[in-house]
Amino acid sequence: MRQAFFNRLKGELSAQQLTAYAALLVVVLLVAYPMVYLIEVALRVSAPNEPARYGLDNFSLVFSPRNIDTILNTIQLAVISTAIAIPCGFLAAWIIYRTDIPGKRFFERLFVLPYYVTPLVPALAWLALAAPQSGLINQIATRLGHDGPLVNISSLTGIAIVMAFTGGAVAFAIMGAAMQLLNPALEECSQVFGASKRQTLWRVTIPLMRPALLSATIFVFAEGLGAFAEPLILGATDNIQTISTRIYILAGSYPPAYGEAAALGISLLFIIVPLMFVYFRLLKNRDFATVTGKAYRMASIETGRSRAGLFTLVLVYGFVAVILPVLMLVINSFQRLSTIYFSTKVWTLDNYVQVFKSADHWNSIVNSLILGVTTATTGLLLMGFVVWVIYRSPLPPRVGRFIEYVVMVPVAIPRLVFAFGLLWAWLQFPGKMYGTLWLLWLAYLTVFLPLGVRTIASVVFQLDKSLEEAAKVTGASRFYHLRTITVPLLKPGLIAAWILLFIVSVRELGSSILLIGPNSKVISPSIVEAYQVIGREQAATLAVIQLAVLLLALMVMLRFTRRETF
Amino acid sequence: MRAETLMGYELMATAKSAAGTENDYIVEVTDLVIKYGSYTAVKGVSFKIRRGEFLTLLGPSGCGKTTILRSIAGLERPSSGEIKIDGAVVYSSAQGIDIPAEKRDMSMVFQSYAIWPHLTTFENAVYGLRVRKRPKEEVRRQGDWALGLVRMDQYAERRASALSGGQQQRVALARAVAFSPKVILFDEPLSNLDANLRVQMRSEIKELQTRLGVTSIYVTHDQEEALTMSDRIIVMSEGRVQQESTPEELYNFPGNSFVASFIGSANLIEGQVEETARSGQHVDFVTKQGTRIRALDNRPAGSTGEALLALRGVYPQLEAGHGAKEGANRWACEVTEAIFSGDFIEYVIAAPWGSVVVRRPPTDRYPVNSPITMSVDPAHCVVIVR
Repeated sequence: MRQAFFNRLKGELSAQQLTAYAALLVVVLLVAYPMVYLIEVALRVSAPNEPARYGLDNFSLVFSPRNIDTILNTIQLAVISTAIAIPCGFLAAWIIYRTDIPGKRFFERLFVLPYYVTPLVPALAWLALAAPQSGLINQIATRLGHDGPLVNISSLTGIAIVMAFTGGAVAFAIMGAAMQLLNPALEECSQVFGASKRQTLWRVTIPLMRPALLSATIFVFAEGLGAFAEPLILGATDNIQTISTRIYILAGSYPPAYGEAAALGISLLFIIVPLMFVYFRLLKNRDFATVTGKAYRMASIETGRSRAGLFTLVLVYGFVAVILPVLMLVINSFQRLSTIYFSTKVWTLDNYVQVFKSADHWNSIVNSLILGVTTATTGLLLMGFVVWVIYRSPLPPRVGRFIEYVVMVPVAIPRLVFAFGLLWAWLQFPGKMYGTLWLLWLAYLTVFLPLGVRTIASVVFQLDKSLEEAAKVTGASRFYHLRTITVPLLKPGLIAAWILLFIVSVRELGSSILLIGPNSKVISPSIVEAYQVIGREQAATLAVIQLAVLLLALMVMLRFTRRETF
Repeated sequence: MRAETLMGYELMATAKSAAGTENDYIVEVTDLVIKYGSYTAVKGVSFKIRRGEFLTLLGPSGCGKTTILRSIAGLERPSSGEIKIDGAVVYSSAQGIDIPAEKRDMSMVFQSYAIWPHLTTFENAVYGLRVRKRPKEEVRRQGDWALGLVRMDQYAERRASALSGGQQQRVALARAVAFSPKVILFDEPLSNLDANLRVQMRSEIKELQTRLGVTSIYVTHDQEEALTMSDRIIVMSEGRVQQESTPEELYNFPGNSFVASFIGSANLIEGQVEETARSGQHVDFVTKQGTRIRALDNRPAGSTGEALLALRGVYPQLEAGHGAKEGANRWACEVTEAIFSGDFIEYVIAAPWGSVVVRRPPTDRYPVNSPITMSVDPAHCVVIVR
């Protein structure tokens, strides 16, 4: 009797462990398989169809003048865009979460918007606004008698500024979240002790925000190193290339220079991986006791006379970073020829008619939606399972921590580099994966692993363990309490996570562009293609359609959650 | 205490001795009303605090006491009324004055301690001096002195986030006194500590306050804290002042049923006052069941009709058996329940008008269901308004 009980217990435990190890295997395969092939192709010195020979030749190609120039461009862009994005993001977060300006909720949502749309949107819009010759701003300046272009968005600084709009949204969200977790008593105390608002900001708020500032900086900088959409669209005129665009070009050239592309990608990892290591250390040891996980009420510092100034500041920022680009794209999509003065002759609905007439465009929209739904659904299941394995499974904690790290690996790898590894891996593989939606699905599942796992984990953490324990104590079976307690309590959070995965799948460019085939086009690469082949107006139209889908999804998501997770 | 150890507090001690001057009150709150939307948290509260006094705002959570404290600090803006600190108006709805918190020259001990985790113990303690740009030498001296007061000097260079709850509270205390503020505000500072530490810190705060003679306003929901530490207590409920007096008076002569039941444990007996037997404050109280109790009338002058009699459980005397004589405030009763609580035994006594809870030391043992005689001094039977 007693023996039987122990046997059953043992059996159940090993079954649980088995499933946990299965999840571990899936995750490791997803992440490691493309990485192994990325390294393989970087070391391969023979042509793709010849027997493999290995060497370091490809790495010596990294030091060609063209590639050195590319690497320097990449680093400069990342540095400049981070230097702009971090102060903007911090200031915006401080004004929104700490002062008494009106319309906080509106600005909060407006500022994170660039994160949820493709960087293609600001890139295309700013091209229309500030391209050296044809940009609207420069045209107006020339008419007013200005000699030569007033602003040049195709310059290194110009590209960096457009990158900073997206980076600023990420910085705003990371620091905003930290600011909401800051105990307002720490600032109030400083005030009671006689510190002016400025003294409190410098002596208390900024030092306390240091971990968040640092992690936002690293995150934005790493994203900047992997930047693809902005340099692809804006850098074409002045031939400014970054590592990501260079890999894209090398992989698409004839014959494809896969080895050189992979070696470049790996050289990028030498910069990003140490940074990411610091980033995760920061996330782990927050020795500041301020982050208690408890969201405090929004304390508002009375800003008095400077209130109008601060309000104007966020209004201008919101307009330049979010509203103006979107507005410009919408206008472009209704024009025959973009950014000529707005005379009535140029207005047309043709662009939309063209999109729906074109089988290619129509397919890319449908494919994106199919992929979005599939990735979100399967991703939620897989990532939910991974979260359970990491935080609640009976595996030894060492194994849990290992999976946690494996899951976070894709953060450190620019998505285009990762997709490149995957491309090579499946080109090697017998069968017809390449050129199908399956390959894209696999890529999305892997690159969104960190985002999905962290989002679902934060949803699960919000659930007090005692709520589940209470159900167990009252005698509910595992399935019963899962059905009646856990799932209903987690539902809003899980729905929001599903929509988040849907959004990032539909907007994804970097990991899509190398993996699409003639019959597996998706919308973001199609926007790039439309821009390169047909024209800005078609690209703008496709971008507006994508934007509409994303905004709709975002609105639904915001109904379920108020906190953004990164 | 030697003068030099008093530091900035010498002046205050002198000022305290010069009582009765115009400037005797350091904080004056007049007709304070605080609204949140349609909800009124504080409904017209006025009080004054003398220099060096330890005043406690006591009440259940949600009574508005913390809101008042935060308004005095300048962290919350009242809807109307006036607040004066040291004779100067810092808030007045009529005059449109609202001096920001940093210019009010106060200090505060927060419920969550609010110890800055990025600073060391010493840096925390001297924050008030540093923002006032005091000379380095003074910062050093005052910081050492303040940390010495709370026996935290050996932790001066330690990161404040590495301290325990009790240590953090001590640092918060040192920080509050280090720059010689006009008033120290305490917002439930002990509620996050465990029971033993709370008792210890209670006496430490009180001792420090007495030594420095610094005016203190203390907010708590813990009646024991209020009774042991305060010079004066203001009992609040639902945004209004219920009673304002010294701890002893509050305990012995509660003004109404709320105070009687919130502070200590009182038996409340329903009935009426018979005016015919009045001699001064002494009256006859007749319970609903017709029992006559000689009592002290603590109602406002001219009160009539239904009243309550408050009888603290510690005052009735018990004798085993039914004695021969039944006199004034002496009744034949029966023990119905005995609950052992460690420091005392709580007896539930069936009196002629109903049950009465009486606390006796554990040495006084009476069997359950045994006859007993209960007597009580009329001075401890207090008639209050219903």
